Amino acid sequence: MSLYGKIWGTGLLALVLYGCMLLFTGQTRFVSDIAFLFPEPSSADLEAIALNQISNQLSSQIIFLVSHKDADTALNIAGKLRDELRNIGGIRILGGREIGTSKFAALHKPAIGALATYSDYKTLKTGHGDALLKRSLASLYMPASSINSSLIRQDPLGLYQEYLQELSATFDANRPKKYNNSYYSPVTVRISESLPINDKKKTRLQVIEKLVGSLEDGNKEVKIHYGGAPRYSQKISQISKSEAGKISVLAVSAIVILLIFLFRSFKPVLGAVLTISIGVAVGAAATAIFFENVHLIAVAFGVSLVGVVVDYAIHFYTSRRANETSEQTANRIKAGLLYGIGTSVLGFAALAFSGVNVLQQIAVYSAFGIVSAGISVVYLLPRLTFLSKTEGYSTSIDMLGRAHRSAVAVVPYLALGLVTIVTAILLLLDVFDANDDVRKLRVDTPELTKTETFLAKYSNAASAKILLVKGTSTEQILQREEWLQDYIWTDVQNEKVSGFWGVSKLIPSIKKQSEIWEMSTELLNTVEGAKLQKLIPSRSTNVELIYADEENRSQLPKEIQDLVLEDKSTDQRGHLVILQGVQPSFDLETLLGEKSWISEINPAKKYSANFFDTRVKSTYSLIGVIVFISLLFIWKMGIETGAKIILVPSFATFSTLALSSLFGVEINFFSVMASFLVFALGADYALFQYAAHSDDKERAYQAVSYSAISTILVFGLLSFSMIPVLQTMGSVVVIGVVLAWLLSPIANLAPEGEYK
Amino acid sequence: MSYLKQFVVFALFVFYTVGVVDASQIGPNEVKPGSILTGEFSQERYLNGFEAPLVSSGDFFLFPSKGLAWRVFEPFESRLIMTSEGITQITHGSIMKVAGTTGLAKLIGGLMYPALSGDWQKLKNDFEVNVEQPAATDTEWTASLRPVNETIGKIIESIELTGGTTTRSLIIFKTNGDRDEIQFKSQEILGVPTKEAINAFSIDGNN
Repeated sequence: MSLYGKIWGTGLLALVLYGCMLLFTGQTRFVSDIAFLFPEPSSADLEAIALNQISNQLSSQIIFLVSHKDADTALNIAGKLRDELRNIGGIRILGGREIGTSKFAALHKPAIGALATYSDYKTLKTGHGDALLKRSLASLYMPASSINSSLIRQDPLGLYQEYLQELSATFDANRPKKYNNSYYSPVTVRISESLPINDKKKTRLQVIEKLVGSLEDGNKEVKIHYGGAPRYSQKISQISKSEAGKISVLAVSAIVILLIFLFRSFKPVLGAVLTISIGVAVGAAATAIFFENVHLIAVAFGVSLVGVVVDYAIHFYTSRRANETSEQTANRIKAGLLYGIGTSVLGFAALAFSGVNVLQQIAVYSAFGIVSAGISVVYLLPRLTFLSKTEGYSTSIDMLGRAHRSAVAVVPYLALGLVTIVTAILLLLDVFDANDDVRKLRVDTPELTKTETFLAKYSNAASAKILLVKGTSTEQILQREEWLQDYIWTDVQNEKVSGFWGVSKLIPSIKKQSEIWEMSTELLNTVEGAKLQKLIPSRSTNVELIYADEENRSQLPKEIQDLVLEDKSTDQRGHLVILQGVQPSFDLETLLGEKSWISEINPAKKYSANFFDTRVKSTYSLIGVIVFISLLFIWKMGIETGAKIILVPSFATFSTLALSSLFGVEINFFSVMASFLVFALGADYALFQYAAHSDDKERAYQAVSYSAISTILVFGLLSFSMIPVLQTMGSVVVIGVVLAWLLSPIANLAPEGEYK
Repeated sequence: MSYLKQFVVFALFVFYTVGVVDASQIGPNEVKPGSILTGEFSQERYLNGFEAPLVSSGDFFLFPSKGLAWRVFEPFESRLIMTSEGITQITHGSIMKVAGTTGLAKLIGGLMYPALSGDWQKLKNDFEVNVEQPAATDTEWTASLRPVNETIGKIIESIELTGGTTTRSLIIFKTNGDRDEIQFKSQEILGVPTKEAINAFSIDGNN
């Protein structure tokens, strides 16, 4: 082996070993969190803080619904479930024991008489206080009323009793609800956020699964539905593993069979496997060295480079002549290979400037993977004589090649060039059907869909909407929360929203407390009010309004305290408000349009917006790099040759996106990423044929055809996957490769004949 | 007289004078599922700090399978419906859900049926029940209930019930010194619910 070869080999080995060390010692970690895909939010942005908080909460939240036709049984089993869950450890039960109305009593005591339900407040405000007087009178005589003299002196209208009951209904997370002759008792838990990912969570989920099974088995007619992000991740992980296993086995088998069929030998198979392994290992090692946290999407995309780098090995083995050494073969195809490698690397390198984590990782993975695999074919394979086959392909497809070239000869490539330019412009203008909805990327199985639909319908927590109310002071924010409560009141009565959960519900604004106190005083001084006053001891005039200051808030349960957001560095503040049981008929958009200080905190929407940004940035990078490479080719090879060669990958890339959109595969971030692969593959097909010596044109055509078949096999399998991301990428690459292969003989007709 | 005879005579004497009977057998007549207990009541509520008791009267309907409807006629008309689904108070046409399934309202709602039908076993879930029968009668009884449940114990000190074939009075002593005294009369068990009884449970604006 030459000195260069030794240096190259040693360098590669060192890189891979160092990368492995980083991975195995945990210095570089794999992450699957969707939030990691996008740039870190600025700390000055209150919405980003809220989003981060809510995303963390949702990603660890599991919602259970225990159903039975009898309310007590549903409640009992939910209680048992709660107790058992507590024993598992690392699981926090929401509601239940943590929020009890008794906890509020001490806080509220001085302000009793100035606290009322929204309904009572509204009754007072609209001048219908008579009804409250009558209610109070009646409750004096009712056996179920818990009035006592001190309470009635402080609150003759019984406002606080009602208020406390409403709070109890809102915060009693365990209360069973009746739908269609069954009672549903909810249990909501969070798996500890401080734990490192995966294993421990997975173990807990397995314990939970067993627990649910045993509770259902032990209580006939009890059904426990449960869902949430951790449960979804667990299911998806199971599906992904099985899919990955199936696809890998099928893809590898298909390529091996194809290579054995083509070369009638195992040596090219081993050579191809070696090339692929080097590409994948070096790409992974480089990514591990450059990045502390590597996203699994980058890894998955990197591995899909198999489809690109296997072409280099196929090209090498197909180009082998019986009368030459393997080093001579490598030298002969070197220029074409290096050209192909250079073009692909340039394409992927453009992603490094996107400013998006995952794109930068893909850029590094792809660039290192492609370069190492390509150079291995040129410098390593020829020196591993035991892997060299003395003769290239054995199956002649000359006739097909001739027919293909003749057909391509009549292609109006100028017109195709024009189509390519127009398509690129349309892509720039975002004209084609695109869908960046992150929910479209979800893996759906009938079981998951059924559970999620069920929970969304019957669980308040699952159908909740989270809003951020901003303001300059706590008092202002509380008043704005109360405005919001007023705004949704009609929707609450029409059952479009089942409840409102916010700090103002527990500590109303000072303005509202004063209003309630004053309106009650006024009412009690009326003639009707005097009748009530006559029956009861004289009213206490001492009331101390409560402020939602830090000290008072600290007496509230943690879940309520978490609703308060503050960014001290920018003095921004806001409160999260949770609208529970929001039905699809609720017009949220109009509400959001009403006030600038109110916004929805919706991780799915935010991620969809991020996907949109990332897709647009990747599309710009794709178009930019293709324009750059076109200019480079034209400069190096002349207008006609350069244009013809670049036409193959660029037409395939842009037309694929347009065609997939026309055929209903909406464009998203992943289809744009797949089109980078199409560009790399298309460039290889054109350059291999262009750079082939005149007596090698047939072999180059065949190498390209075999490469196309292998790629179609691998990505065709992906297009049948249950995982939407793989499905999209598979479909796009298959369409692109077919187009690139069909058009590639254009490059074979290049007038220069041999590349110098 | 042999010792054995002496023992038998003594035992019979004790049995007839002290009235050793199974406490679970003592109490008002059972109101069987499907039938309905109806009657009139008068209530005096003594609240600390109030000059006079709050007096009210009306009638009630108790369906074992459904719940209790409590109709107040004096000093003004109102109605309280206690079922497993919650408590509703209807006053002057306005319908209000009371304490749902928590607190004193739930406790009172849950207490009425066993108290009026003598289901001591059920009451034992939350109270220590002590039923006594004076030796001279075979139907009169008194029962005192002391909460064993900590939450109930915070609100209720004790409950006293007296009656014969029906429960005649119920006194609730609260921990803050307040008390409710309810007297029942004209009670009867109906095999078939009357239209009036059914109407008493209807949640509409009419008292």
